Amino acid sequence: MTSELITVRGETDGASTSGTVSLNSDLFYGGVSFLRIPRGMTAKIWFKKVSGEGETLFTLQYTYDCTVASPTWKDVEQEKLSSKGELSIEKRRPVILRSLKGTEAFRVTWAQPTGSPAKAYIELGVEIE
Amino acid sequence: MDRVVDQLGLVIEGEYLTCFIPSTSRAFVFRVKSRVNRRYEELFYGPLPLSAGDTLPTYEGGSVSVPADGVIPARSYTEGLSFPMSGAYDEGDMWYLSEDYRDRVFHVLQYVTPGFLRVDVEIPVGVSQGRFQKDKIVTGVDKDFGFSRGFYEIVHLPRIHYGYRYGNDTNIDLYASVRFVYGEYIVEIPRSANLIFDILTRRIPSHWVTMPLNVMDPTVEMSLNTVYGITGFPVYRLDQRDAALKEYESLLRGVKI
Repeated sequence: MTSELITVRGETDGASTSGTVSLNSDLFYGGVSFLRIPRGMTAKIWFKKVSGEGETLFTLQYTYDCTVASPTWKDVEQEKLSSKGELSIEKRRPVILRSLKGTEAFRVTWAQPTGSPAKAYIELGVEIE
Repeated sequence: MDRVVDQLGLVIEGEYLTCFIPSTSRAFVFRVKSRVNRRYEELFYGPLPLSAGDTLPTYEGGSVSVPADGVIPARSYTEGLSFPMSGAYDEGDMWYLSEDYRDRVFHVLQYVTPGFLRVDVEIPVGVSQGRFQKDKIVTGVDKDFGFSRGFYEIVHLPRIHYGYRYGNDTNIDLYASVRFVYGEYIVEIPRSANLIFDILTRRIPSHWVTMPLNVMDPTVEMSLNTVYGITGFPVYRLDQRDAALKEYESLLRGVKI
């Protein structure tokens, strides 16, 4: 079994103050609203980079079953950009998300102050192994 | 540890390569006389041979269209794929050789990107080889087990078309590509029954590749007979030396290389 390290990128739409980030990468044909982890494998998030024009809270969420009509998402981690700028986090110990049934997935959502939508960006270093 | 392969995982010239066939408990023993692509073992093939518009089955039971060349759609798997190459002996299958090339085998290490894609192989193309509890369950990339991810080591024998299958169990349409590290070996089958027995009882070092042959298709058996004159040497126990040597000597009389 070989692993794959992928840089995944997403951004806010600049018009809404909350939403789900569409994630994309050089290996993805198109953006996706969540990443389903291959059965029996693990997603390790080694780094995060957040940047933007204003206050933004990015939340990493995980679900045990992305195949149902309304998955239940639970928060795993949050990164808050308090104002215009950039935040870069390298993980010596990664966030680990496991796939036990093949239906597990993760996604990133954003939230911004009411009435202050702004463009913000997130990059994740995701290793699938 | 005896060193019969180099840092690439390919057999060093003069060493032995053993292709074990689980379905028959037989094996081919080759001595690698030379590696004709020495120093040029890497072949970046590029995107998987999938064309926009191709239809693939899905894990949910339906089918899906390939959105662009080289893209494996989310939740889909391929049927047996061959790798086309212009100018090759068979332009639709770059690893295929006829029996006229019986002194050659390709030892192929396949690296798939992304590395989490499922991989298995059909031998011959169209005949899946994954089995659980004899024939009770057929396994493979379309099932929950019976595949590897991102890597496959195999030996391509002449006169057999192999079909590679890839599975994408994520929800993402993925650009997929393949890199091969391969050796085009000129081989011979050792003419000493003693030597073959010692290799098959692991007293002489050899690089063993267990072929994914859990079902011996009649066409494969016929191809092996046509190419080599035999379907392999039975693997005996250490205490069966006399019986083994007798059979090996008989088989060696019919060997074509």
